[in-house]
Amino acid sequence: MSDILTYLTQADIRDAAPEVLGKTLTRPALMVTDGVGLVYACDVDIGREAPLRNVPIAAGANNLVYAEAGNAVTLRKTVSGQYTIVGFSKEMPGTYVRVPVSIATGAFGTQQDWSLTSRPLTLAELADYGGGFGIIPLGAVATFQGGILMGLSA
Amino acid sequence: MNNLWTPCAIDSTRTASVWLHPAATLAAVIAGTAADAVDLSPYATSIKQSAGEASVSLNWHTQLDGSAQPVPGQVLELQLNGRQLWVGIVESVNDYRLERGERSLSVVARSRDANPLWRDTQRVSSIYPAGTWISIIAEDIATTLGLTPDEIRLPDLAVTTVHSNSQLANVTAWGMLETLYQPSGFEPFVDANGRLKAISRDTARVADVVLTADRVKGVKGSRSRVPATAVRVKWLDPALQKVHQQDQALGTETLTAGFFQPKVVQEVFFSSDRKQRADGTYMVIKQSVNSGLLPVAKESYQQLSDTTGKITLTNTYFSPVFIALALYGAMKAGSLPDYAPPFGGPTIPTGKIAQAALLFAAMYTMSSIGSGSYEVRGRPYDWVHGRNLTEAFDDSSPDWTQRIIEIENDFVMNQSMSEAYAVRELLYEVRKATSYGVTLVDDPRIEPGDILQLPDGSRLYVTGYSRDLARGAAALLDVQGFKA
Repeated sequence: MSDILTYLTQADIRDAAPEVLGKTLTRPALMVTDGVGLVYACDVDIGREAPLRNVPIAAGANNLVYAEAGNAVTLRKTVSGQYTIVGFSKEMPGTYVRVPVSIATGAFGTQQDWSLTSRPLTLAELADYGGGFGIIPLGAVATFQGGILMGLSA
Repeated sequence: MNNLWTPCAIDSTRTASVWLHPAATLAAVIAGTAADAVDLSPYATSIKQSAGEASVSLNWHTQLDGSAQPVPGQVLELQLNGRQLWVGIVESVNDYRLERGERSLSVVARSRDANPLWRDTQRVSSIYPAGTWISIIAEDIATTLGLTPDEIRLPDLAVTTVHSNSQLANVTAWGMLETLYQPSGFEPFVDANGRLKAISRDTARVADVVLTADRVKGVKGSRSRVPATAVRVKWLDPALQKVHQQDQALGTETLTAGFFQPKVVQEVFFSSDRKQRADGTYMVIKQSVNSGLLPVAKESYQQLSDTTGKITLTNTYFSPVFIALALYGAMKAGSLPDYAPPFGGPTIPTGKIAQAALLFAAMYTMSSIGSGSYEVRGRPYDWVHGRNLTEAFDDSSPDWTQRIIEIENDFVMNQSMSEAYAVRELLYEVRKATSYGVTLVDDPRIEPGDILQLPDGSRLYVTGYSRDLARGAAALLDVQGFKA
């Protein structure tokens, strides 16, 4: 019982972390409104199963507008519980590898790569993924999970 | 497992003795060189010993009055059949009773690691460069705790630090040892003789002790709780990754070039703090020095280093010699005589013409001055660490039973080590959920971390044990653990 309480406490502390490190998956774009005006936001991978979508960039952090896909950033929770990007960081989520294990035998299976990466497409990839040149603009960013294309953003 | 012992024979008699060391150090007692031992065995009515604790009840008349009474902080030693079985430090003296003619008290002693020095005091270790053996760091920590080399029995692992600098900060000594050894499948343990060693957390390895049916006296109860379904290991990748930002303006300069200088050179930093690195830098001319009436200079840009670039304006017409000669010539030209044509006509003021030409040339050169505005653009970059995540999960557990344990440890060297770590911890945590106890014939070899194989083939990972060493007690050992 004490172990369960320990894990619950750790989960609570972890979830209440005011700052987390993340990796941008898209370039910042004007896409989120605070009710008055549009603010820059982008998708961020924080090392969980799914990335955070449309995370706004904190006011005053103008240099973040030039963040490229794949940059290391720091996210901080506001008093309302919403994460915002407050600056660049020196650390970001890296690879995410899952290993299935058979408890009965102790054997483990083939590793599954769930790593999220995001980068601008090369010229060759623009032709391959877009169905030919001219459909996807130059500089489009692709998000890959385990090497498999998950989405494109321009 | 302590291979210095042999299993007690079935239905054998054990002779246990209790020794108090009022002044000797733990190291001296462990080494067997302490000379101040006080035999409490004649007064011991109850002796119970487990991996980390011993409790002794004493009854006496006057023999233990005064300084002979155990006091917290003294070393307590238990011997079995004349050999040192367990060494600990008296933690408390309880339940003191005085009845007509007879006194009694109970002494509780614990192993040396059960005190704030090991478990509560936050510490900061030294800083270690890449390639430092984990065992070296562990030995430094053990030495700080006051252990002598003879008391340190930590294994030498083929594991080194992989980051350029590693330091454990604000962690207890025990926490430091756990952090160092768990990625390799071990955990720190102080054995019954007070020596620091490491026990294996691998529940899949070969059994340490194989029990026959005649040595197992009983299996007591079992309890289950929700097992973990996944273990996630977060570790810092030692390889740095280069990440670029978008192309953007890094710096602007306004420069003036003219006849007064052959070359204007301006170093440009890519940030105000002069630390931002960038590559692919280039210059954009916002307003050229040549945008006036006359061309002034040739503009060029060159990146000097990761953090700086250089704008160079090379004056087109600079020539101090030319200007000096032109002015000198203009001065001398004033002395040239006018030319009167022999056949009539206006007099040609050759001196004035030459002077005007030379002055024109000099002033033309002096007029070539201009200001330009330049912007250096490029892609800032930085080297960052990736914090990798390796997850081992039970592939047969349904989603609604999901319970994930997260471990963060930067002493993982590479991906394969992290996978082995995650799988090993998952098996440990899942199997730990189902625990049970076994009573068997006393075997002093057995200690926590051992795997016992029972006669039916099932295996038990030992997490603790206890034995009753009182006079006349049966030679039995109660083992607690979980099915491995």
